[in-house]
Amino acid sequence: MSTMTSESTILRFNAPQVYVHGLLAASILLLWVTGLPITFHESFTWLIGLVGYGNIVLLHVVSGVVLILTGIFYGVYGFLGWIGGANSLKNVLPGPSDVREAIEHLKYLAGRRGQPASGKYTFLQKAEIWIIVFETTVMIVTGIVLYAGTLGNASPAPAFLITRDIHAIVAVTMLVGVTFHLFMTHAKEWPLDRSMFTGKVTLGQACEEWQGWVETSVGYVDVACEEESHSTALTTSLIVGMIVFAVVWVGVILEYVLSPVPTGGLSVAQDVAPHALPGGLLGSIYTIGLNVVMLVIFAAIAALIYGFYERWSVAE
Amino acid sequence: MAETTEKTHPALLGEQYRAAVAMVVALVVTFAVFIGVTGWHPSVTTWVPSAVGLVGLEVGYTTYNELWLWVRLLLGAYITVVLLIVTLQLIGTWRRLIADAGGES
Repeated sequence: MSTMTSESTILRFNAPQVYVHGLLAASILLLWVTGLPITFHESFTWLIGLVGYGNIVLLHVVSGVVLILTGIFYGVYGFLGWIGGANSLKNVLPGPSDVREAIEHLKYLAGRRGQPASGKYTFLQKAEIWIIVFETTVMIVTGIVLYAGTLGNASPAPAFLITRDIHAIVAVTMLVGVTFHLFMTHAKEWPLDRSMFTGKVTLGQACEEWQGWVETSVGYVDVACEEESHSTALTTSLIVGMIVFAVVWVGVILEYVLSPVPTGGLSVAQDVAPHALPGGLLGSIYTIGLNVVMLVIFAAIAALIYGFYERWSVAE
Repeated sequence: MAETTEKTHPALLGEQYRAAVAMVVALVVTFAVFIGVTGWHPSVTTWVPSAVGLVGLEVGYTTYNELWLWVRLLLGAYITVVLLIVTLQLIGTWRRLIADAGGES
């Protein structure tokens, strides 16, 4: 242990986890790139004109199949690890220690104690993981129903319309959650936290965020934890980004969730998507916000490609 | 730079085998789902673009709206949980980056 420094690295994700996380991210990002124009047709006429509506729907279905593939992979991989004695599933399962950590975290937020030590994942990260599991499950099930519904020539049944609205609402809410995840996990270390691509983190970084995991996995190490520095640009973009997402999200919620009956539209398969947004100034604000959202998604795709390029170029 | 790996209990199935088995199962199940769905068309009612909208409903319009109300309640609960998690993360990040660091650097 005496040779370890804060720059020493520890393996956090193995190769299958890195690649499947990348595949999952790619499929979800592509589902948003294609799903937003399907749902909010008026705001993305430029993209529909560029790619073609049929191609967008086709790419949406293909990305959905990849999402199903990665979802099943994660489930089987975790289950095999669980029955085989590996830690991958155990690390993310919630337990009594998470309740303790949550209470300590609230005290920390109130300034009454220091940051609590957590295992491989903090209780908030575990919550985030299980929310994403729930969301992808709902998206897959509702997506399958919608896909099956578009195969016939007949118009949709009421249950189909409810399913479509659930699909859209969960997708948009998931977009908000994952955007927070992108900012706080991957873009925290400008321009990109590479741990999800290299699979490794430095001990200095790990002991700052997951002290309990460092102590139980590699034993006690006497290294200086890295102090995270505050970037004005990053914090400002975080706040601006969140405001934009909040505006879009509230708009969609008002349009979908609070509407007295499921929103209009004949079928998701028709050429013209349903009018999901109001007109006037509010509609213009939503359109700008949605296009900013699309830029954020494109940036995330670029970051994903850059991360794997770095992984492969370093490996070479 | 020193490098170490996480201490783990010896797994019955090696990492590579786990990944390989999981990938095969994922491919087979996904293919089965895709084929199964493609061959299955749900029965749907006819759409008439009138003031009422849907005709041939098997359930009453009131029942239908009540169902949608429950769906909205569940979605509201889910969205609340997501917002709570996001808020806690945002406050925690702010505390770590700004409050604990003693202000802007």
